[in-house]
Amino acid sequence: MRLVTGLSFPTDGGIELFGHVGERKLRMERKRIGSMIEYPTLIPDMTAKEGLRHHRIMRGIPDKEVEDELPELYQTATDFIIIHKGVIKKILTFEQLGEFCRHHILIRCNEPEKLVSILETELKTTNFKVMPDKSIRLYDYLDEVERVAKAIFDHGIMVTNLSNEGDTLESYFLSTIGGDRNV
Amino acid sequence: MFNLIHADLYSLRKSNAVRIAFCITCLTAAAMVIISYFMAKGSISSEISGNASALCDPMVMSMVGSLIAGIFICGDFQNKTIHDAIAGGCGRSTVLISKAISYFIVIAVMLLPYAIATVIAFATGSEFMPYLYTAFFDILANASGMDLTAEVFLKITAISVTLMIVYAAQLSICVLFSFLLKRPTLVVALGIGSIMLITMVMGLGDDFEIIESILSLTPFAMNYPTISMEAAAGDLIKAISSSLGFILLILGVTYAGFRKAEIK
Repeated sequence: MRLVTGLSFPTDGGIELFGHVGERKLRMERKRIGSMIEYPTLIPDMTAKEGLRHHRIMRGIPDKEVEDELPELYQTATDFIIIHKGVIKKILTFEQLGEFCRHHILIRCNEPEKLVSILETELKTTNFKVMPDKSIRLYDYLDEVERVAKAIFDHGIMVTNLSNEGDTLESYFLSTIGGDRNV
Repeated sequence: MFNLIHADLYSLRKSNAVRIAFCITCLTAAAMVIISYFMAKGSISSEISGNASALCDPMVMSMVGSLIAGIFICGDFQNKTIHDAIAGGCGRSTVLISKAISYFIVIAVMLLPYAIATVIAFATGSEFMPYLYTAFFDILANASGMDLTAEVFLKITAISVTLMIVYAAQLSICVLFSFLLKRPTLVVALGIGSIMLITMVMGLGDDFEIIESILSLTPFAMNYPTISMEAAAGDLIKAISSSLGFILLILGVTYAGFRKAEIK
């Protein structure tokens, strides 16, 4: 692959690409190849989308809309494997990934059953999930945490955690590999 | 090639290191002018001129330029941007020239605060004490007592542009180191070290006449007094042509080393 992509040179023999030989023609034909050898190009100080823009500019692709196709590609996948430096860090389904990345208010308290009742009756929402450890993920009122806190406090429930949680796909990837210092 | 330059400038714009380097040159340029002003007023002793010379453009540009070469060019080897460009059908000469042009543009931007600070200080009409022999200090000293007319402004602009080309040529050796060594720490150390060494050798003057006469043709001899407010158009053209010739020579040597090198 390194020989075909021009990163190394053959000590013997020749290379033919799409029926073409010769350094100049090989260069032209390499424009038809998409390749990622060993590691992807990740540029520090750039988000994934900015990295995509950098490559679009570098390859001379004028259509800016291709930058928005990254999220679309991500939505068509059914399973995700997080690989870092050649090691599989995590395998998860689209639903699991969505669950990890979905923004929510994480509530831990001493009376989860009573809290469920308050969410349904007082805050009029069923858009929450009770987790196996009895914590509750509330997907509504993300910008009104104070209102949620007041409703809970008014009913005398002791809260041990009340925080906004959830990741973007990129920050979830970074947290899985142990932070951006490891990229 | 334009796509590569465009992409490089985009990544440089996003680079925190380049932003910090620009802030540093802004601060050092301002500090240089302020210290020079207070020295002239007598508020600051001229004894600190040795330490303060570290704030002047020759020292700052050699450090910042080497640092940017290490981060920008070697960084692109490490994060595989150069690999992608070559695998995507760009020739090695195209990659080299586009990197060099992007690098020279950044060098020009880094020198801009010195040019702007000098013009602003010149326009105030205040007195400044030059504590180092540089072109910008020659402008600040304003020995002829000129006012900031359109003609003078054009001359300062021409001097600044010439200096940008001269610094680009001096720092082109960092392009050579970056493409051949591909290690940022080595490039920074060798870049700063070699520029200082050449400057020292030039300072020895009479003891090494042959070496000095050879170096006098290079951009390392093209700061003050070749470039000053007294310089004629011919002097500036001489500095520019000498610098461009040096850049071509260095890029030629770099290409010879990079043309068939394996990129790991």
